[in-house]
Amino acid sequence: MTDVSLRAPGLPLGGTARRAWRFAMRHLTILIGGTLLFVLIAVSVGAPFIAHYDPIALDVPHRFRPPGAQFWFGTDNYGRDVFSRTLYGGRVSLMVAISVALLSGVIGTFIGLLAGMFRWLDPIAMRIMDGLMAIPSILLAVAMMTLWRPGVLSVIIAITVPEVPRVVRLVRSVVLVIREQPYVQAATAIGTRLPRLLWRHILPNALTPIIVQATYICASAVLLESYLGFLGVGIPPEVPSWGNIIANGRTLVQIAFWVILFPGAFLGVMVLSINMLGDGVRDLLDPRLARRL
Amino acid sequence: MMTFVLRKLGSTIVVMLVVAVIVFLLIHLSPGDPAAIIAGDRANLDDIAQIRQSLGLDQPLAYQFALWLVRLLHGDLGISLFTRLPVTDLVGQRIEPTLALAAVTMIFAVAMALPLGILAAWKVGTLIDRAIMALAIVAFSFPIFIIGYGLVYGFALTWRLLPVQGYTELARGFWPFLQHLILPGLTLGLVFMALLTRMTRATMIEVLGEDYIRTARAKGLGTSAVLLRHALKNAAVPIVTTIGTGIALLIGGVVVTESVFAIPGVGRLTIDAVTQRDYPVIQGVILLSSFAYVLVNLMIDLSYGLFDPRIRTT
Repeated sequence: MTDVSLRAPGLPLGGTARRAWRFAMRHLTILIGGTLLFVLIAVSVGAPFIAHYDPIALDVPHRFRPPGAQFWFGTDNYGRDVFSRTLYGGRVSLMVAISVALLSGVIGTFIGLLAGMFRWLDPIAMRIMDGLMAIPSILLAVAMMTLWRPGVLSVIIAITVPEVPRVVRLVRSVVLVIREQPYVQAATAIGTRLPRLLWRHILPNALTPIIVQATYICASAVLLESYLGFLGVGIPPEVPSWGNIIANGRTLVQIAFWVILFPGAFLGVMVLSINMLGDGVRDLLDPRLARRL
Repeated sequence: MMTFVLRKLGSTIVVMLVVAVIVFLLIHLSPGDPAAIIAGDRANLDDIAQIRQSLGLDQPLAYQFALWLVRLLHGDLGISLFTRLPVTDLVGQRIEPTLALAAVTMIFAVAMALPLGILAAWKVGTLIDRAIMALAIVAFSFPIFIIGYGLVYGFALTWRLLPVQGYTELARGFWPFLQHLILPGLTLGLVFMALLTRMTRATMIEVLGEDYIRTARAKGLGTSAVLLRHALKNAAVPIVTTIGTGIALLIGGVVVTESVFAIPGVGRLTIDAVTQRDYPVIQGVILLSSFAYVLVNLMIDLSYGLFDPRIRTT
């Protein structure tokens, strides 16, 4: 047995297929999750080339067709092709999920860094975060959507707000540990200013848990968007998001189950693949994290 | 012990106050005119003015907050814009199905998660462990309504073992009551189970690596005694904490689950309020469920202090 542990696990040097194979087998969750996610992203982005029907245009004569050769996933109550709508819906859901992960990641990291560094700010910020976390995320998002004009941006913000405290807590807990490390104290001692200290010395060490957490937020944002749609307060109904297709399909579940089944299954597989990727990356980058997330 | 209780109680009150401020500010920080949005597109100026007045939005902010807080402390959550009934009455009428669903969900989840989590930790790395973790991540990833409709299709429509949807009051017999709760409880229970199983497994793996477990094994204790009496007892705190923080997830899940199974509970009340843009009801439900979450977690925290003297002093 050759010792591969000295090399970076992601780079099978020498390019031997055997090493790549061994890496893939050891990190099966990353392989499966990554492949699934890649396929889903590819078919969503490539929707105009794959789906032959307009996802929005009405085609009433062809309504309620069950899945078959012409309409792979059947059609809905307006004759719209469920396959097209599912693929196009993936684009909207992905866009929402990535925006939420980025926004809550950036805002949460910022607040978390400050809360971790300033002792006077810490209790104030953390009590606000405790309060936000006590409100169930679905209810908080629903309340915001009732008060705002419906729109993609509103949905993104309504899903971001409940996710921010999770990032803040995580970043703060990491900062509290890093802050006491000798190299940070050394940097402070030679007069490093705070922004540089945060950016150069503290943030890089907090990055791994933030990335893993952002992956999980992506997954939960996809789910939350669909719940908002299901409850009727999501993105405006004319946009074919998964939440909206599901909201419409829900009223048809007795007569045309395929309208909700296919987008729901796609959604489930997408969330599953993101979660698997998150688990895999977490174990790969830092096994000690397993307990904290 | 007394200072421990008082300290926990104090921080709970602070969190509840923060929740109240957030919920209060929600309507005031909204871009645009919330009264106009609540009134809808077909409303005229009089309607909007009336809604603004009944929500108290025409008063100065500080005055509104003080008034709102005083009312809240008297247990007054406001009046529904739609039915003109007090929000507390509306919630009171709908609380039974919701509590019943939450209880059945919790029983299902814990009954599935503990054995699965312990088994996975004990057999860590094996096929059994991988299968259990795969089940957990799938249950955690699929939306509640897909799991719910799937269970309805199997158990209610195909095998006709259980009712499709609806709710029967406990007063009309225990079996009809339970019958209607099995599928919704299982649906939401699966999601909650996934969360708990992952936590149970992770904690048990950590505990099973401790020296006292090796000692227990070395002195000849049986597997079940080691797992349950020595390991699970010491893994209990993180597991119970996860149950506590999971309450927020549970409450959100109840709203969706009640919607899937047409259960006339608080979740259904919320969704009806959303379609009618009945903001005081939504606000009241948010406050009550957040307070419920905070109080359950207070109780859990206090119970730690009772069982484990070390926690009291930290």
